[in-house]
Order: sequence, then C-alpha cells, then structure tokens
Amino acid sequence: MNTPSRRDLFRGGGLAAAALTLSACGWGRTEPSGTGTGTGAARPGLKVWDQFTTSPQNEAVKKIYDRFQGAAIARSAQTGDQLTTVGKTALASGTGPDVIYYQVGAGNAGVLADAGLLRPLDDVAAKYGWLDRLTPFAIREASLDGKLYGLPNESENTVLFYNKTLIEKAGLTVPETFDELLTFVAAATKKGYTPIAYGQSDVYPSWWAFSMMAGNLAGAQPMGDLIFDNKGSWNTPQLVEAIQLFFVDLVKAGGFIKDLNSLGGPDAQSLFLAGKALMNLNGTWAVGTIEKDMPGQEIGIMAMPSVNGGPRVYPGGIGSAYYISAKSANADLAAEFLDSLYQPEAVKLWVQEGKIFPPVPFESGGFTLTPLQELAMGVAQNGGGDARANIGYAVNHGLASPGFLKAMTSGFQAVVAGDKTPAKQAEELQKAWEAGLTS
Amino acid sequence: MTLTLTRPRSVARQVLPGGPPQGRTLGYLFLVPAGLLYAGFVLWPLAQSLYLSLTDWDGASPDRRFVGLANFRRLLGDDLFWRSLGHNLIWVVVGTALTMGVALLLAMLVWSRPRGFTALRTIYFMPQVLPAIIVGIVWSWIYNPAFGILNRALEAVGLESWTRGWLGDPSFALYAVLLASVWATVGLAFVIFTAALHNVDTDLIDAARVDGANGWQRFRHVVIPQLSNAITLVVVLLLVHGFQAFDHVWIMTKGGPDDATQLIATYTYQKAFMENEVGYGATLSLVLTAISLLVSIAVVRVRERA
Repeated sequence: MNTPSRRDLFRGGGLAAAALTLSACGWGRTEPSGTGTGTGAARPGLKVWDQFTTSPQNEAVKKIYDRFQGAAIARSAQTGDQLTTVGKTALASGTGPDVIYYQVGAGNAGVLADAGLLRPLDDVAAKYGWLDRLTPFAIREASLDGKLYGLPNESENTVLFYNKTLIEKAGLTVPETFDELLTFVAAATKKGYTPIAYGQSDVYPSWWAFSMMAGNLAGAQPMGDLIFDNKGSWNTPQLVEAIQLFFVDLVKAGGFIKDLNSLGGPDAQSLFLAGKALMNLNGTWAVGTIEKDMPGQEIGIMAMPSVNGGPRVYPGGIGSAYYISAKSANADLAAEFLDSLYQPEAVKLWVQEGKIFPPVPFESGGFTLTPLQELAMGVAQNGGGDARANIGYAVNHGLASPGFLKAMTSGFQAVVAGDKTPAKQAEELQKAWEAGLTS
Repeated sequence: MTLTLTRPRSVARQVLPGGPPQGRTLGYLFLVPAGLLYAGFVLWPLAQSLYLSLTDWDGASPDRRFVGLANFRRLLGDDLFWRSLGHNLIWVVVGTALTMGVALLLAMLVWSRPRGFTALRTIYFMPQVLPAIIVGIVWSWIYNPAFGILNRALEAVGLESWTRGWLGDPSFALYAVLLASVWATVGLAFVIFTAALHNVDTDLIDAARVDGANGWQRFRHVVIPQLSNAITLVVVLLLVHGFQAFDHVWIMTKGGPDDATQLIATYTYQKAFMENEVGYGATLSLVLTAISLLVSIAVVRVRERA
C-alpha cells in the first residue's frame, strides 16, 4: 500500500479547501434551505419563505407552489418564531426572500412595513381584482395604516373541540351556557376525565382563551373596534368579568389540569387526542391533526358557552399573510405568484388537502370534505348563526403590540397562579395597549 | 593551551531581551490571524452593541435614532431587569454551589478508580455532551404535569402532596430549570476535578493520617488546597455560564410563568427579537457582559490572594 506523501496531502487539502470555498459561494446548491419544490432551471427564481412546517399543510403547499409556472420556487419552510427572529434582517439585507409568509398585525408585519421592508400591494390588488375576492375582515387584517400589504391566508377560528363519543359514554351532555359548563367540568372530573385540555405555558393559548371570553362578554363588533381602531378600552367591567370567568372561576371549578401554567399547547392537545380530555381549546387549524389522530371518534366544534344569555362568538382571524419584500428584484413575478395561490385549483388544494380555508369565496360542492371540515367551514362562514354577531376577533391581532402580547401571556399566568386579580390584569392590559400605541 | 569560552550564537539570541527585531515581527505576524478573528468576532460586535445601546433601533428600520444614555436610565428603573438580575444571582450562587458539590462528590467517589470507573465517568459526563435542546425537552417531559415521571414517582411513594406543575408554579419554576441545568453542567466540573485529583500528592494524605487527621480534615486541609487551581477554573466557568444562562430556560419556560424564570439573557432576547427593542436589548446585553466580567475578575483575584 502506498503511503501518501506530504505533497499529496497538500494537494488533497487544497482541493478540499477549494471545494469548501465553492460550496460556501453557493455552487452546487439548488435552494437556500427548506424543502425545494421548484423545477425548471430555465425559469427565473423566486425565494419564498413560509411557515407550513407540519403535515398536511406542508404537502399541500408543495403542490400549490408547483402549479405556478412563472418561476422556479426556492422554498424555505420555517416556524413562526424563526421567521420573527430572522425575517427582519433577511429582508433588510436585500438577499432575503422575495415573498415572506409572516404574522399579521402591528406588532408583527407592522414593524416590517414601518421599516419600509414590505411592498404595499394596493396596485397589485387592483390589477388582479383581489379586493373583490378577499373577505373584508381578511383585508382589514392584512392592511396597515389603510394600505394593503399582504395577501391574507388561513381564515381560522378559535373553537372548543369536544369529543362527543366520550361525552356520551360518560353520560354527560354538551354544555350550552357557562353555568352548565361549570357543572359539566365538575361532573367530568369526578368521572376521571380532564374536562378541557388547555395549558398556557406557551405564549399564545391564553390569547385564544381571552379572545373567546372577551367576544362573548363584550360582543364581536365592539371587540373588533377596540382591536383594530382603538375604540374602547381593555379595563371595562365586561372584560374584567371575562378574565374572572375563565382564568379564575373555571380554573377553581376544575375545568383544566391542575397545573395549567406548566402545560404547553401541544401537550394539552395530546390529552385530547389520547382520549383523556373531553374538550380542547384550540383552533380550526387543528382539524387535520385531530382527524388524523382520532379515527372513529365523533368530534364536534362549539364556541365558548353563552354567559347570561349573551352571544356565542367564534374569534376569527387570519393566521398570516404573504408579503412581498420591498427589496425584491422580482416584485412583478412575486405578485403573479401570489395571485396563483387563490386560483380555483389552488383553493381546492388548500381546502381539501391542506385543511385550510383561504379567505375567498369558493364552491365546495366538488370538494371532498370530512364532517369536521364541514363544521369548521360553517364556523368560518357565519359562526353558526349571524356572521356579524357570531364571528369575532383575535385579541392578539390588529394594533396589538409585542408588549401587549407579553402582558397577556405573563398576566394571565399570574391570574391563574393567584398572584394578580382580574381587575389588575385588565388595568395592566390597558397600560400595555397604550404604551404600544405610542411607541 | 588556552581555552577561550565563547557563548554559542543560539544562546546569545535567546538572552537578548525581546529577541531580534525580525523575530519579533514574525511573532506579531503569527498573531495576526487570531487577532483578526478576535477583532471581527468579539471587538467589532461589542463596539456595535455599544453603539446600538445608544439608539432606539427596532431591528428593522433603516433609522437608528441616537438617544444617548436613555436606555441605561430606563434600565435603572426597569423592575423586570432587577427581578431578572435577582434570578441570575440565585442561578449563579445556587447553581455554582450545587454543581461544585455534586461534581466534587462524584469525583471523590471514583478517585480510587473502582471497578466500572470508565463506565461511571462516561455516565457522569454524558449530559454535558447532550445538546441543550435535548436536555430541555427531556426535563420538560420529566416535569410535565400530565404525564411527567417526577409527579408519577412522587405519587407512587405516597408523596402526592408534593406533586405540582414544576415549571408552571412561580415559586418552583426557577429551581426546577436550574436543577436541569446543573444536571447538564456537572459533567464538565466532574472531569476537571477527576483530572486534578489525579495530581494530588497522596504522600501528604498519608502523612496527615499518621498525624491523626480524620477524613474530613484530610479532605479539607490536604486535598482541597491541592485542588485550588481546578476549583478556581470551575468556579469561573460556572459563574460565566450562570450569568449567560439562556438555552435551558428558553426551551423549558421562555422566562415564564409570569416572568418567574426570567434571566437577563432571556429578557435581552425577548426585548431585542420579540418586542423589537434592539437598542434596549443591546443595553441589557452590555450590562450582562460587564457583570459577568467583573464577577469573574473578582473571583480570580480572591482565589489568587487565598
């Protein structure tokens, strides 16, 4: 066997160094990261960063992007947290994505828009007729200071899923009023079930819960006016009662696992999926997972039970929206790509395979939908009644600043721990809200 | 015959103060790559942080408005900063003491190279090589109130009253995360102490035994002084690690519940990247760096004097 000489080693090292240098320059790479779906090297490239990291959305999105023939899509799927962290610098550098799928709201996309990193889309919307197709609340969600910046997607509602099979087996009935809910949770606990799978160690579940209770107590439209137009305040008696009922009374009645401050959203959902909990406070985005993991169980969807005969409101909103980078050299192509996302065939893929409802009207007659999807679609369309009264708003959208979001998360944890009263929490929410408006 | 003693040229070179000019130049040239790396990856970011701390930059806007020392003034009146600093002090004091104690105990137990020493050393060191994300996830499962092994174990031995949501209870969450961090850190201290114990002069221990010293006295007055350098090293490492602690907390609690596990590093991240206050985040990071540096220097000085 020949032993390599020192010169051979230098040559080998030189080759390795050259290879490393070339690879660092991007040679041999077909996409920056994530799951590339594009084909056709002759087409121009379009960098798209989105948040569809889980099944079945991820698979559906690949097919939807592949339908676009105008460009080779270099896709990178990242979590929302990752995008929040790296999105700003990526867009500012000018070498980031042409299209980014980012959370709506003043505290999220609003920061990027204020920095001039997003391209206003009013002209694009006019060109492609988006304003005639998109639902008004979705346009409101993706607009900032009166300008449309994003193409909204994921029309979703916060709901209570309930396991009808288990509830009937336990000899219980689905509660319609809040008083019935308190009785229900006591009976469910006695029978060894966790009544409602809900935990708030993550930053967001308490936002969903508060959105539901606030909508029921204060009404859908007043909450919309407060969240989007700053008409009203967060320390009204109705909102104090909303906090009291959910984060104090329902906790004391045994509505949740004892240590809900230490349970994350996914773990709470696991309790429901495993048949240990009768209900799950979640959103219609979870329909796909529930269907996949709970075969043979009859699952229902309901809003938070009515308080004193008031309305039952499904907080609705837009998960995120597609935005075009202000520094994109392919803005026209990016706009064309966005328009392709809601063409009829793409809509069918979003709904049928991605289990996502885009905020555009569509005929579902030719779609194959599961019973749970049908229920979720009904909620998205009219909230099971009058859309104006029964579809509300998410408290973490609109003008909500990062400081307000943090005040909700840590404040509701403190209320559950008994370290803060509902009135104090409402007061602090109002302070954080005002601080966010002036910053 | 007359013998003339002349100093060899090579020796003459060695004794010249500072070496010949061309040798010094070559020496400096060897330092250039490291110097450039240090300047590029330490000094420049530090200078940038200092600059950002004097602005109200949100991390996205092209405008970085100069605000002078406003961020530092704000920090003095920021309750959450002081609360986070308090948590850091608990973390450093309790975490350092616990890690030192456990690591030293384990190192002493295997000092005599018992059967299975290699396996024990691997087991003790294993947590150190695990990525922080794995440590965080595993301990989150252990503490999980719904299916965590800790509560189940307590119930199994009749201690139901001790069960709780470890990461959700503001009174216990910080200590629960700290315990996980100690578990992950103790391996490094153990290896350092094991290596240091290898160099302990056993004749001195035998002499002390002959002089009538009991086990504790031999440990306290013979072994510990010989471990002083290792102890200094471990203490400094743990102090720096303690002030910079971030990963385990972020993975397990994100600073919650109700900021009960908020440390300066997590607070910095939250402000800079989640609340878009990069200027204030830079201020917090600078303060953290200064505290960490001062404490480390103080500890080394105290140890040197001792």
